[in-house]
Amino acid sequence: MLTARKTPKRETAIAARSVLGSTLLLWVVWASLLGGAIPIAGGAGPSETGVVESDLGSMSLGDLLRQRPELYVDSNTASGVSETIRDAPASMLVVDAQSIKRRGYDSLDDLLEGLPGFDTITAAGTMQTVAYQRGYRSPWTQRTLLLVNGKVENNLWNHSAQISRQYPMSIVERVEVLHGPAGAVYGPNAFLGVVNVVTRDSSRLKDGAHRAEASVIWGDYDSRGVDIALGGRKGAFSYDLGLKLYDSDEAGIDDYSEWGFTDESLLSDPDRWGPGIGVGVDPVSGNDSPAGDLDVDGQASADEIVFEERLGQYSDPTSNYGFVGEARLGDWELGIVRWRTDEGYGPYYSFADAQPGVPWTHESSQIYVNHDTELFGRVSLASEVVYRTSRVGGLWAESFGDNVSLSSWNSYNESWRMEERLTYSPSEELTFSGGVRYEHRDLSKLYFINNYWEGAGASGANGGESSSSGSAVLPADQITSENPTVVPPAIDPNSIADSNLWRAQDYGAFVQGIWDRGDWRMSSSVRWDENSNFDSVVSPRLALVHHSSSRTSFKIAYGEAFQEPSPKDLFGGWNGRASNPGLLSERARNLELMMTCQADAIMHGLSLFTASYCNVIAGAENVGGRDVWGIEYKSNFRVPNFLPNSNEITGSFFYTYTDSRADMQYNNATGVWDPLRAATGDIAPHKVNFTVNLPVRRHWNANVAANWISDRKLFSQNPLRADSNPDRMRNRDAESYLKVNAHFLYERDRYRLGFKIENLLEEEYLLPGVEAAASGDDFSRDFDGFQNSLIPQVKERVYTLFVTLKI
Amino acid sequence: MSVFRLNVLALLLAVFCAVPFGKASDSAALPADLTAAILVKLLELELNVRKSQEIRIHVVDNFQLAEGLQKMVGARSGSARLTQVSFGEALPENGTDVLFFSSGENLESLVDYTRQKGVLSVTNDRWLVESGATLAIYNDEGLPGILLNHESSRREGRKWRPEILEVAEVYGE
Repeated sequence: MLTARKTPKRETAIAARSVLGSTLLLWVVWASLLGGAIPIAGGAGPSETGVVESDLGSMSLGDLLRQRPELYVDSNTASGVSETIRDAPASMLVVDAQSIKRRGYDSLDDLLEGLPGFDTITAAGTMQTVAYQRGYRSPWTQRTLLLVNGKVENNLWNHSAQISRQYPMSIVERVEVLHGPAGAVYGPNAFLGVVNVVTRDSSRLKDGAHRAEASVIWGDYDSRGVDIALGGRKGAFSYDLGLKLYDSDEAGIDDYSEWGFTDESLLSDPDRWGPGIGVGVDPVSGNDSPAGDLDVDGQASADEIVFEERLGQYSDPTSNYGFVGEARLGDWELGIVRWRTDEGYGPYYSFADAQPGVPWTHESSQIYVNHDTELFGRVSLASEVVYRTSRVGGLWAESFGDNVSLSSWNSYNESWRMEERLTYSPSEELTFSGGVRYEHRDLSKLYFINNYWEGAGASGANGGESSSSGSAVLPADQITSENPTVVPPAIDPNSIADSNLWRAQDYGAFVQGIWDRGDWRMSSSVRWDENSNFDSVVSPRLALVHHSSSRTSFKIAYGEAFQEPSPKDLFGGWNGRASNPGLLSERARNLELMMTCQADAIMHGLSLFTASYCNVIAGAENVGGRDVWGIEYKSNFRVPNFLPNSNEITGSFFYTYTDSRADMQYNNATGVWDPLRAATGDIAPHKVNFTVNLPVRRHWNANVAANWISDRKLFSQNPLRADSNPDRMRNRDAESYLKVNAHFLYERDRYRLGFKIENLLEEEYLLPGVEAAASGDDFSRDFDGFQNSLIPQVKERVYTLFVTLKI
Repeated sequence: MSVFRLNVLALLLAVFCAVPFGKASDSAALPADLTAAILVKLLELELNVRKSQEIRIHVVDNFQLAEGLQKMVGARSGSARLTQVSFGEALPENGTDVLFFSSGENLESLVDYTRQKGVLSVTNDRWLVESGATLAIYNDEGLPGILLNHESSRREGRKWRPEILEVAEVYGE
């Protein structure tokens, strides 16, 4: 039984001081803006009559025709109740279906790349994409909640969001991105923000109407997929179904930027891999053994193919599928979200340590029932019951200290969650809501591992039923036809051994009040959460929105959130990764000023935020605090088209500035976190996302998107960072890069043809390594660091063709 | 999913794509509340509506818009006041001043109805204006846009104040 853990007073005090100082500064800036001290370009002030006309009913026709539709999208993401983006108590961005179509986004990872406020890394390995929101570095995408129709998709065990090619995009109506902690609404783990994928709702269709959309995808590297959306309504019944199937061989290693530890010859090096996986000679028979000849019998036969290809050479196959379905009958809704990704490791790991061509799997299922009903008058009740499972695991081919193993891994987890939400609107101006939540989770403590080092994972040695006794880990020079690399036995993917089970029960309750008065809107909420194994946590949020004119709005919001240590960080260690059952929850406090100004040709959005984090978890330790402040500027523009009979040219320009500092840095020589305030690392201070959309007459459309990311220091665990590695003289940063993508669309009647070119300028670049990123850049020596310190990216143009039919 | 199965699915879809179908519309619609507010303001520019005391709007196939308009019941449009918002596929037997539809389904009969009864036809799809509806309030590349079909307007007996030309693009002049 774990003991309750308290937040250290010192860290709380530091965080409080930081937030207080920043609060003062932000209030001064905000008061100046409100007082008119800073002129707002294009902003309309009060009308001539002195009446501020900021709600739709009182706006003039001229003002109404200047309103950006995106500000009036109804969203539940920020508050759990329906409100427009304009009124939401947070900085939000909506990417709608038309933008998804025009930009050629065929997966969520494409979409994430173009968002402000994210440092996105195509890791193409254990995780396909790793995104750090708001300047907060974590091993994977673990501090941002990924939702599909409001239901959490992050893995139950490691809290990561697997953002790959699995989700059907043709069923997506819009993606809502919320920046800033939202613990007061979501409880645990809405730490940095929320990405909510909202799918189509055919209950809005006319009775008897049905629709279908099907896309076929062909691309380089033998990439192919289908993406299908169906929906319809008959009386009180309606349904929406989305299906995505995607396979790819992925880019060959020669198509990536050069990096010494992704030299393909390393994969068959007999000194590292022995005969069997590597190329060598069987010491028993004296026969040559080719790469991938696991039984060292002199030939790599079909039954030695592990995941479409032989080991000892580069391959990185991908196979994804995803299904999203909802059926509604009156007030009832039944939903299913199921997906699975099987992917190789690409250039994620050093080829001296790991073979990329074995499969790593993420799998998630959830089934839910929602019921919304009006109880009486202005009182409504929303109920939901969710059952979900999430799994991560696969094969792992490793060379560590010249010892070779081929092991299988699995972590299976499940949960039940029930939530009741009551909303009471005594008047048009006032809305109260409140609710309770209960969640029961059955979680794995350790990976269940076969054929790995003794004591690793839930093996026979510590009470489990697997076979990691260490006997299958073989020195490379002792692998022979009589003592070959051992292929691991299959693991039951959907079970947890009793000895490896960790039960957690979460309770939560919240209240929220929203008060509209004239041009002001105040939103306040507070949430209490208790996990059976942790302290209880109270997360408040207070926000004030002021529509100073029909064109200009200001918001100020203060919010808190907490991030539970994941079971992986608490218990999931082995000889390759630490865990610590004494970890404290991370805390986030965020203060933010926001302004939106709708000028005639441009809509400006500006967020200025300061955030303080404490009990930061890195390397299975609480390593002090971090402070981040930043600016996110978002603008959309619309200018006349120079082409005749063509709609206006539109586009967006996002600029993100982020300053992220950490109280402690990892010392690569001692392996200890030292008190040293310096840049957190892996966070680019400057990021620019620029998109231009050019309609060409009625049926054609061209879209070009450019993402420029500045130089960035690396994370302190990365041995390439000299100030955290006494053994290194020369610092190495991740250099800036410019990636340009283009998408050309032809649409006529019920057909759509899309042609996408990614990396149009053939930019060669490397991105910061993820997790410990510890392999270094001395390619003459193998430090067994596993994750590449810099991850090569595809340097070639990548072409994809889409053919879509709508009915 | 094996390569074979994917290829078969791709082939099936390709064959499917080869079958000809009619026209589909895929423009992003304006949010309902914004459309409703613009519609009520636009009615001030139509003299027949402006003269009347009460405005009735019937929405054929867009429940969200009907809800948005319902919130505006009581709002003034010139000397007139929005008094009634109804929703349903059946066309109102007791008449209406404005008929709103989003889909091109049964467009011909809807247009016949509006022209016979002198009802203003309004849609949120600009392409339906080219097919006979009088007024579209639509998402014009990130801003509200208004398109007016001159011929349909005439056949419905509409009389617009000149200010309409300052806010609407005219089709069919």
